Amino acid sequence: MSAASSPFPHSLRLPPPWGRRVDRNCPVRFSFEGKTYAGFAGDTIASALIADGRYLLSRSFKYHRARGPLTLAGQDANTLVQLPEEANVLADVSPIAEGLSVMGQNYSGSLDHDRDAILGHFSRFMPVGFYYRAFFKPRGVWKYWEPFIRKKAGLGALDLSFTPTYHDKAYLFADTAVIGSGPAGLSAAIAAADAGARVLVVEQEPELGGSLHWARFGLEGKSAEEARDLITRVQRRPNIRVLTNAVCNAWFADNYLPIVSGNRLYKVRAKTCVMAAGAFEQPVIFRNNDLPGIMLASAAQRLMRLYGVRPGKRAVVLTGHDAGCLAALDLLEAGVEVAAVADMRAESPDTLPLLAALKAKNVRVFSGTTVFEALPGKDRDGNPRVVGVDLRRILGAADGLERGAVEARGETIECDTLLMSAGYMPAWQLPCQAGGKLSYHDATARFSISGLPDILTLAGSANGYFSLSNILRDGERAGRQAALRALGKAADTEIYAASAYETEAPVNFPWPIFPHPQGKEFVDFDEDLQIRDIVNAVRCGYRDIQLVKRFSTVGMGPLQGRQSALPAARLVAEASGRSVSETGVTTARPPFMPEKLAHVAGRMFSPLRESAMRRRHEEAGAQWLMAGTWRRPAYYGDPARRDALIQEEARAVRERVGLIDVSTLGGLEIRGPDAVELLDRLYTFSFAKLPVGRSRYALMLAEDGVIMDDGVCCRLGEQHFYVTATTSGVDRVWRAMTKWNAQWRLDADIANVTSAWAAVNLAGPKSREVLARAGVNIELSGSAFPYLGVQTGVVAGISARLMRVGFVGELGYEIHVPSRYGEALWDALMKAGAEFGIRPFGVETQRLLRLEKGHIIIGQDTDGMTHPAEVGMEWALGRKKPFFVGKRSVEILEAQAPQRKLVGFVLPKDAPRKALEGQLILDDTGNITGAITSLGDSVALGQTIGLAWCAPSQGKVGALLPIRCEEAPGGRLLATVAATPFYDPQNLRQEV
Amino acid sequence: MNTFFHAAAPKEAARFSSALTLEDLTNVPRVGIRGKAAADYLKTAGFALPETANRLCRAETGALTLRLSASEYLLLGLDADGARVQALEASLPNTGEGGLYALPRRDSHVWFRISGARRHEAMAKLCGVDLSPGAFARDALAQTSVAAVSAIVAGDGGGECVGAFHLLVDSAFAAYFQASLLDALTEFHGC
Repeated sequence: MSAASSPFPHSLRLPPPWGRRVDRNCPVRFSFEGKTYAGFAGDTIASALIADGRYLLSRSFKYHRARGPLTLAGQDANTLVQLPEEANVLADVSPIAEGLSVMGQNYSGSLDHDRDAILGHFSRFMPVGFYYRAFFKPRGVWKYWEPFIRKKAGLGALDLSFTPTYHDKAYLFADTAVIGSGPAGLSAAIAAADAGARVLVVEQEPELGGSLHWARFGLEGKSAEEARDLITRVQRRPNIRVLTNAVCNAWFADNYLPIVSGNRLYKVRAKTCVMAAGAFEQPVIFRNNDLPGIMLASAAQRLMRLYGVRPGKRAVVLTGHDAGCLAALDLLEAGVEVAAVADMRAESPDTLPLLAALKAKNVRVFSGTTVFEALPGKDRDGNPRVVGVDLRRILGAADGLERGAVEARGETIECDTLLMSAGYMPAWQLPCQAGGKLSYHDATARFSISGLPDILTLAGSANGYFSLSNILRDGERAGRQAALRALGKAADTEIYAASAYETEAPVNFPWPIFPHPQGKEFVDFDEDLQIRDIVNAVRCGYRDIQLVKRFSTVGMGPLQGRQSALPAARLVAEASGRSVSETGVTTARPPFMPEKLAHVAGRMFSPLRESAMRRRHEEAGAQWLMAGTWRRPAYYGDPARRDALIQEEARAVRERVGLIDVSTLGGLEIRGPDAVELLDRLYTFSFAKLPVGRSRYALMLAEDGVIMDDGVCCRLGEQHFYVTATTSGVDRVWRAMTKWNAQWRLDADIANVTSAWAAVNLAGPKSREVLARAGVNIELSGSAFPYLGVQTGVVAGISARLMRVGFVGELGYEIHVPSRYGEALWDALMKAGAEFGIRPFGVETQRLLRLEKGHIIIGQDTDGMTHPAEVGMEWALGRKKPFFVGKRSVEILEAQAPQRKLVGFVLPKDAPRKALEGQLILDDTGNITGAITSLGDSVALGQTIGLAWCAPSQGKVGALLPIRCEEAPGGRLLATVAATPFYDPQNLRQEV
Repeated sequence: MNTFFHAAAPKEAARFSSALTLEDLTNVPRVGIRGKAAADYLKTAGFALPETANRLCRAETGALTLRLSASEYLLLGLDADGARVQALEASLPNTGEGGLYALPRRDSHVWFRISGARRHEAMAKLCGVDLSPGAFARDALAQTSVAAVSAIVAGDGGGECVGAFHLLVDSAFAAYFQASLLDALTEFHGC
């Protein structure tokens, strides 16, 4: 596209083949800070803005300094912007979209004219750690500071009207996972696939290839192009799966890898893993190294090769190794004037081929030289930008000076762009999470990572190789070895011994830090930390790098130390008189990149169990409550009339007939020759003499004598029992049964059939008539089917198990049918009961009715310490039995003085306040002796009744029981201890 | 006798595309059986049995026999074998005697079938077991967790299906589980 036809008047666009990632046939318009910009599909927000000459994208965290892109790889906080529904979006990796509205953030006024930029002038009053030392004195002043600081803290704005988007999770499985698809990753993936492994390749960028798309690997710049053939080879391997735009955010034990891809979090299980995640280019630390227009060398290469955008018109390159020289060659190729290359290395340009090549292209080369200060100026919009550099010869130790010292005078060179590259630090985060140790060799400034588990292998620049041939070779080695291990095959001991690699020049300049008397040499761009901040942290006594991090906040910003960890470690080492190896770097915890809570939460699974009669409850207006994973009707009708409805339902049961769904009750089939023996050992009562066709209360204790569960044990045959358990306790009971059955080696079969049976309790004085009306093939008279009797028969045409039980204290039948017939049973009984005024009742009503009968609910009226004597259930203990689980413990507990007692109580009808469950029971001196566990307004008694824990001395019937109630006069309600059952103490109604 | 089915479980197949099909087979006969005498009982009844646990075998007439443990089996009455499995269920004694214990799987478990080439991708959203073709044999079964509830996952490569998973879970989870499956499968609509 010619400049004349360009829709972008200020465009710094390069012609094809520059800009591999953008589609020039697809223009995209968006806005930034209210002004319309244009780019191409494939552009990021940052690349499109730079193409238009816009460098200022953000304001720094503390001093509100103008910032432009640094890495162009989503590795810095300089490009954080605000989208309508999302704050802190990385503009250098976020694509533009038609109509997208982008704003800057963290400014007062406008991004271009940020009033808070004045803070930079007061930096001397905000030394490291000033947060911790200011604002607290004089006492009480914090409340005045707090609103101001809260207003200034934080980046971006949340859209509270945001509609949550769908995020989910999925598992992924691979023999070998390859993290990173640069040349090392591609080579590793092909080798692993060729060895027969199922391979997963994870790439953070939109396409495979990594640095092959933007880096220059040699003087001619052809080798990357040739190596891109690897991409096609990977795509053709059927046993390689590729995830692009995906970030491996952590390494967890056994190669459990969380991969964030779009709105999905993949949970990858890989037998082996190759980390080919590359290395982070490091900045040079000098005054004003954060000005817009200053970027890493790799950032400029990305800008040109991926997006077809010149970083500027006149550039200076500051480097400490060959990569900076290669970037300078790229600039020349793109038509950018390279005003100078400052090479921090002391070697003569004539001994370094790349520098010689640059000189041959008439580029001024300065050896042993650094940028001492970047000179600030204005860009075309009047915004801050680098306009020149002050070059100084490096002096330092060889001249008897401190490291980083420079000559007193230098040369000023005008430029609008400065590229910098001090070397590389391997992507250490994930390997270190795997237990690897990052080492730095002070003499050679090389990194290495050791101590990795066998299932994790490094490859390429992450493993310390930077020449393309070495990277490819190392990738192949790592991929093949990882695949062989994953497939359980012997390692290939021949492949690429250390001697097979070519020798490489050092890539890290050992001391790229140049203090300036006026400061503003930024070590950490996220947190606005300068050299003196790190040094002062050590001087304050924080010698350990971890403490320096916490005191200074270095490495705690979005960058997470990618560019600051190494210079901070160097400065701490220097200031504390140690080596960088001894100092180390801070811990790199997950996540590697910022991840949203939505990714972590994903699609939540909240299992919900419902009975076969669910539809009928909904039709009847059920209000639901949760019982474990079960959803049960609490009562039926308008929630505004809750208490009245419960009373009405209770009255229906007491006076006519009610129907409750008890399908949630646990159901266990115990069968086999040792069934009775198993039950006798597990439950407190004896069942050996229980006749077929009868049931008995069943109380189960844990080994420590604590009440574990209860239910009813029905004998259906000599070797066949049907045992019920509580809704939330049945799984625990089943586990105990199966454990003991195996341990005792009994010949009994235990089946949890809870969901196989739907069940109802038909209760009330009219229940017998209703059941008869529904149609039943068994004799229902009290003599033929007495209380605690069990029958199998047919109800309303449905095979059923019927039990005469009395949890609510009325004539009643528990009817169990195969769950597929549950709804039919409900319908039949409701139809048959219509003429008798039948009414469905819910769990809340049942709780009230059983309270009237004084029945406890395990887990509500008991706790994890309750033994039978405390709740008056000594009667349920088969003391003549030689053994049952918990028997010995109960005997020990009963031999001790009782500590508490569960008692029934009534409140006077004129009590000044309603009591509440959970309210405390007090003694005469005001000490707490217990609490209310159950409470209800009894229909039958016409007053409030309840159960409560109290001291044994308070448990005498007729005694007054003080309940703490702050709203009541004197802070107390006085209840009276009452005998239970409160209602029908002779059980005449249920046993008719 | 009137027959009613779980209100929560749809009776018709929910079809998404040629790529994935979800069917509710809850109304198809099935029964569980275990105990020392179970294997002999089934052989006598003419059912072929898998040789090891966590494997299944398919009769030519359709029935799938899942071996859940050394002495526990689950028979799925697919295709022409529905009546045969139903008859087996009716014939089983439930006295607790003779080392033979019937298990009411028709009522305790709902039964779904997911078929289609990308079924393992959908299941990867719900289940932590690698069910991809290379890792999970067509005659394999897993007793695991699917959508956070206990489930039996059985492979099935025969019969009318190109490839399928049978999923059996506690019937009380029917509505929840069906919703979870539909949610996972929606992504593959039209693929």
